[in-house]
Amino acid sequence: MSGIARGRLTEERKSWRKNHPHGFVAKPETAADGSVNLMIWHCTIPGKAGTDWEGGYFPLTLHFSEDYPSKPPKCKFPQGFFHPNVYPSGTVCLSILNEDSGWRPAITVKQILVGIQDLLDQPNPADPAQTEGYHLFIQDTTEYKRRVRLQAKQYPSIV
Amino acid sequence: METNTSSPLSTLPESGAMTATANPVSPSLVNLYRITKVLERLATHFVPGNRSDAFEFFNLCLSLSRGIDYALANGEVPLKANELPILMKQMYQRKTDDHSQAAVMVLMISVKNACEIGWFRENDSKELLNIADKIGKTYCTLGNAIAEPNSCHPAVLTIMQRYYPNMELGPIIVSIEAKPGYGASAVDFHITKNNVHSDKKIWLLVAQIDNIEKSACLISPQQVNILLNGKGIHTRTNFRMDPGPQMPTCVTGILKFGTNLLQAVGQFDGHYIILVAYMSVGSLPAHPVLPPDYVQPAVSVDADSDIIEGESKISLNCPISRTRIKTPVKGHSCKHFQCFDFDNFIKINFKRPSWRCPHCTRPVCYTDIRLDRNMIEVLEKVGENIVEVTFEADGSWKVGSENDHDVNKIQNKAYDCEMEQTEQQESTCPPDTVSNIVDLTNNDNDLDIMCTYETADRKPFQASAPTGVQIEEDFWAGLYIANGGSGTPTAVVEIPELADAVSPVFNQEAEGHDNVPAMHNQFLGQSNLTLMNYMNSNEYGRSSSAARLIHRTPTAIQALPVQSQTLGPQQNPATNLDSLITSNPSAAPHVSLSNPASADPYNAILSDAERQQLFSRSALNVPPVLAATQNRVPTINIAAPTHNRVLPVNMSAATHNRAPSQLHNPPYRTDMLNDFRNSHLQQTLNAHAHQPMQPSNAQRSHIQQGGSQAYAAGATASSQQARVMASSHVARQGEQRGPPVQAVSSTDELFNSQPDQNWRPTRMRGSLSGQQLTEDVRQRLIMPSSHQVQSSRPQGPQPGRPLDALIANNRNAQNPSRP
Repeated sequence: MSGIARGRLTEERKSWRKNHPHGFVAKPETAADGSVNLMIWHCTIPGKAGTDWEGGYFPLTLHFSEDYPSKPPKCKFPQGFFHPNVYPSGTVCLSILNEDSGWRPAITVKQILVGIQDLLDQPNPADPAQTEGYHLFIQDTTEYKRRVRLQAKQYPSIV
Repeated sequence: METNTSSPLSTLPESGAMTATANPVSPSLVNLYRITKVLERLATHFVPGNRSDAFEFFNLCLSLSRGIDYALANGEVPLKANELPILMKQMYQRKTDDHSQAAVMVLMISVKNACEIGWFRENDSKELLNIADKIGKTYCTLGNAIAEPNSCHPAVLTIMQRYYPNMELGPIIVSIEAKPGYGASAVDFHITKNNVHSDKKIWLLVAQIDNIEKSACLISPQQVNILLNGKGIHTRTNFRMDPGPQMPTCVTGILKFGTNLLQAVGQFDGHYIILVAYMSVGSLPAHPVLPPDYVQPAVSVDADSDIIEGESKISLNCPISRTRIKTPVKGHSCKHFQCFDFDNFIKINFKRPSWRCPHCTRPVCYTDIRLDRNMIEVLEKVGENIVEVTFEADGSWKVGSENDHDVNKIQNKAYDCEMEQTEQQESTCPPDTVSNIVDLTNNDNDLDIMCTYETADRKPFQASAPTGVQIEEDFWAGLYIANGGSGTPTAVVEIPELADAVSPVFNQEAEGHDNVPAMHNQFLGQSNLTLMNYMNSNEYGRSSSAARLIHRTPTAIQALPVQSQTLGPQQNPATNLDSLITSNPSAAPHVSLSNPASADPYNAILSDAERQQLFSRSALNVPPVLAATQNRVPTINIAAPTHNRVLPVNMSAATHNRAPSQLHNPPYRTDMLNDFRNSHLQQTLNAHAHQPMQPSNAQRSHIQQGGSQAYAAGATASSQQARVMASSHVARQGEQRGPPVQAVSSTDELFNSQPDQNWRPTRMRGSLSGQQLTEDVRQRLIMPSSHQVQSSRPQGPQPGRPLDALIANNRNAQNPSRP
């Protein structure tokens, strides 16, 4: 049974290696001994050019369960990530990542990552997940933009 | 599965002789001897003029009940069985106080099964069953015991066909049909060694039968706890509630030969059927009967957004596995060309029965699967390297691209096919930050939990959010204060201290702690209202934000907490507390060390406390308990809240004997609770105070009990202040009882001398125990931090960040070696 999750992730990996959007990184976790854990992926999402997020390369971790792809992976930014739709724990709140609403097993890792990139600059104020980002977003646009740009600087490209 | 044979007989005068002679004889002989002796002894309670000792009576009832269970399981009929009916009738007529009635109820369940097996004459049996019914109804709604297979609700068979096609329903052992609203159902059933089917295991199936068209009917009622033999069914209690559709739960391991008890307590959001039945799990044959052919649903004239027009690119890979489809299928109502693989679909739904099309998420149950002949043809004709074909609206098709795994292309693709040298996570994303909360809820062997229980993340409190949201939130905040706390912010704030002080001990041996439903706590106007409001918002597929609000509904007062999502450590502390340990008014009183003479009867009671708890609604009517405990009121003056911080061990010295003061709804901290109008609320508060230290599982070491009850005793003390002023000097005596160390060693003795240590109570308890509870308790050790959030709520939204940090710290502290 559990073969499905790993089999699918292997395919996702293959597919990603073949091609993926520019600037994005997605890679299963590798332990010190070189063994690969397909159930956890470390990813990087670049901020979209032309937005306040530009220049940031934001680390995101995908946690897959044995029920994947019945269930979506849990996607986490670092704790305390500034964004209206990111929980204080770093978990991304996005409809396509919700088993009960938008998630379909057909959604690929690539779609998830691009979806989150879109979310960065287009937060959904109807579904806030943290107070700080949400309040600034609706009350103080200037400060919000400043914080976003500040955060983008915190996550520069490593290359 | 074996009925425990160790008996509490040692509490009887005969015990010495018994154990001396017991060794060489068979357990069943011992058991029959026990029954005989207990019967004799019980008979003396009804001799006119004889003062009937309530404790002995209680203990005898439980002992007899166990003896009967054991005899039943082994198919033996004790010689004196014919005396039982008369005895039971006497009991029913004369033992009418709550305390004794509980014992009689326990005994009655065993006797009832004896009736069914034919121990008594027909007339006697009838009468006994009648009595059993009457007693039972004073406690709960009774379920039905259905002996014959397949006579259950017709919906069950449909459900099996649609959603559990790999399981075959055998004889149904027992079932409960629950109606919407609050329900406390219990049904006992008997398993003898004869009727065990070796090839079939026993499963618990829970389904909502109002609408079985969608897999949502397989969602366990989110505010209901389902328990078997007092143990919570994994993912079907509010400690671990799976919000999605579930497979039946294999419960063979928690059942035993003899009497078993199935309970379902909480707020039902519809008609449910809960059944325990034999089922065999077949894996479908490798090449199962192919589903019927797919017929394109009639295209309506109206432009439906789902209707595909023009050409569309279709992947030949299964959207589930992303490998090539072998058996192309789709749902009968799916309108898209895209297929998925039959085997893959079956596999994921045998694990998690969502039964939705992986492409369009339409409900597709097993019987809805259709084979797409058209696609079979395509797959045969097209080379393996082709992964995509283009369909025209009329059904004709042509080969699409090769080797492109990604069907749903995304516009934003400037592909970078170079090696991935840019990966920077290792440095920017230390593993510590990866999962801070979820790990705590994690079973070591249960990866799934990480995603199943996402309740760790909560929506921020949107106090300043515009319009409607705010009103709603304020409403809940108001409710919280009115309900979950005590009406006094002070009290709310104090709770973390309580948890803090107690947690070390609590953590150590949490297994022993027990939740017991306090039936009289179940109906609290407001909390019930809250439940009603929310019972509909938690359904599978509903708005998640509505569901999230549930965290804040202080439904804690429920006897068995029926709140659905109490997993996350950030949650409503009141709820956590309550669900942790529901108020347990009938917890066994403790033996005072200073009074060894009186110790025996108490000890005897301890091992049977569980049985008592479920059924005693109040021990108010047991004068001996009161008498014994009141003059041993613990010594701590709790009016000063700082005392809560006293080290548990230290306090154990003083709190050895806990006074069950919560039993009489005493004025709790009269200094701050003047505004209490409702005695239930007081009780709730009491429950708060006592909850983290309700080790009602009596075989647990008294050390813990002492330690963990430290606060309880404290609270108790204050709540009894008014009542037991006169005994304050006694309390002072207790204070001088001795250094903590001494107390601990004494408790050791107590523990060792306790009879029947090995007896594992397996029924009549209203709550979780064992490993599950331990874990859950562990989670709750982070309560203090959640309380900070809680108490700051009135000032404004301050969700999570500091809290997260705290929790993360906590986790790290607990698990420093974790990478």
